[in-house]
Amino acid sequence: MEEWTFSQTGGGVLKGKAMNRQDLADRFRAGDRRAVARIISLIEQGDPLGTSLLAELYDPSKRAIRIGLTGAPGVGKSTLVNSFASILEKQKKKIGVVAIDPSSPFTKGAFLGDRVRMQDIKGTNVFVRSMATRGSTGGLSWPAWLTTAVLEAFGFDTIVIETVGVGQVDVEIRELVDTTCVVLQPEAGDSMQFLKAGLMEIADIYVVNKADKPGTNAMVADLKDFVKLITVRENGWRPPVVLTIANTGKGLDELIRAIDSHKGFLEQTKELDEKRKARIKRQLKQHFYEKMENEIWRAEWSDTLVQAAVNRIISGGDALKEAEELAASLIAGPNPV
Amino acid sequence: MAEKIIRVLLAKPGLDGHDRGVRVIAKGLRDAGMEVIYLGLHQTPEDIVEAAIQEDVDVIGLSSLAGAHMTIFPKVIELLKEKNAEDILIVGGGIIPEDDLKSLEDQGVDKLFLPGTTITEIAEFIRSKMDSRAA
Ligand SMILES: Nc1nc2c(ncn2[C@@H]2O[C@H](COP(=O)(O)OP(=O)(O)OP(=O)(O)O)[C@@H](O)[C@H]2O)c(=O)[nH]1
Ligand SMILES: [Mg+2]
Repeated sequence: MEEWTFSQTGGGVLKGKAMNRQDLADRFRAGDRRAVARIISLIEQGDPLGTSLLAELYDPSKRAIRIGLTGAPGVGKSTLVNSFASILEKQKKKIGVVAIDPSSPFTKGAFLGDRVRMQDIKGTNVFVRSMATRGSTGGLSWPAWLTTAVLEAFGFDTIVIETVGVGQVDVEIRELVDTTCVVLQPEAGDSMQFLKAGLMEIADIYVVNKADKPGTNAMVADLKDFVKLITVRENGWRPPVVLTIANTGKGLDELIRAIDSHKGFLEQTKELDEKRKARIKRQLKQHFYEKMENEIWRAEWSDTLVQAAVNRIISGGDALKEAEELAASLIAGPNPV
Repeated sequence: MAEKIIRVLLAKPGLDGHDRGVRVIAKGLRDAGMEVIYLGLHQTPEDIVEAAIQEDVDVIGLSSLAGAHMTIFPKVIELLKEKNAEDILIVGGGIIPEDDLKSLEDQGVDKLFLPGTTITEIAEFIRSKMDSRAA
């Protein structure tokens, strides 16, 4: 049995205690929140122990509803999570929240401020984890994918993922969750913005938050027009438009109903299973990419080959031919037969 | 393997409603390459410890200007001990009288920063503590 001590991986709640892998797995199974928190940290730090524990603890019978909240900075995503989760908490649901904010591309530091808006969900049935993007784009980070899986394995029945404040092309969230809510606010634009591809295409539900602000009616009219225009998504679902005032909780019941009926739709059309399959496929692909990156591209043996190809191209070699040959040698590995 | 990034929880316990000071520190630590999880105002010791556990932070930083430091710091330390998490570094800042300073450090606060301390000093303190632990 391998022994792992956290003093080597650095800080964190349990770092002082030399806990072995088994201990961590046992605590996780016993419902210890520190064990969940620690496994998430290991995953975030890229420690192989994290992913290997996730694989061990993964339980296909444990399935959570995954809800994504995305939208521009400041539209009220965290405030919505707060009201949404506090309603679910009263219904005795167990809720996991992953809240993502951006890392600085310059210092790698981050200000994770979503919890400030989540003051009403401090009960023991809610678990909130703030994460930084740590260099990834798309409004999510790869560790956020795995963290969602960790929370699912822990037994949360609902998992809410709040992306960073996104732009028009950040659409990765739709792959991670079952129901994507695109959150908008009044005066975020008119029919011209709605027609632009990307973010506006991924909504299963459009949430117009800050419905107490002027301009709401005009915007909702435009948005509803737009939704009619796209008629239905390719799968037959017509995304509803829900108005909310997140800080008072107004409209939240309707949002919860919309999420439920989308879930019903996914179950009925078997799309829920399709989504899960696509997710697993995506995870396998990502694993493959990371292996390629770490074990091939960053390895010393490959660097020698790459440098040689660079030099040949600089001195007039055929770039495409070099690229093809390099790719073939990289795939063949360090010691081709 | 991705690198370890220091995670710091910042909160402002107690009743007073100004958090400009904490926000300045939050920005400073962010610029020093740390991930700062900000909890906001009026946090109870229970809120702080629970959030520290969920977020698996390395450091808890509390700002206290309203004189509540003699109750809040010891309570946070007690709760961390209860949860077996007393290895989280605890630092604080604010206007704290000399006598209290000594007493709090005796009770387990790792470091109290008095007004006038630069962010660089705070960041360096945290980093050196983390380095000596990782070694
Ligand atoms: N008037 C009004 N203000 C709101 C409403 N919902 C949220 N806010 C305010 O909008 C501001 C931003 O809210 P957040 O919940 O932090 O927004 P966010 O989308 O999570 O922001 P980022 O995570 O930074 O992208 C806060 O000041 C909220 O109090 C609402 O329905 N009406
Ligand atoms: Mg937010």
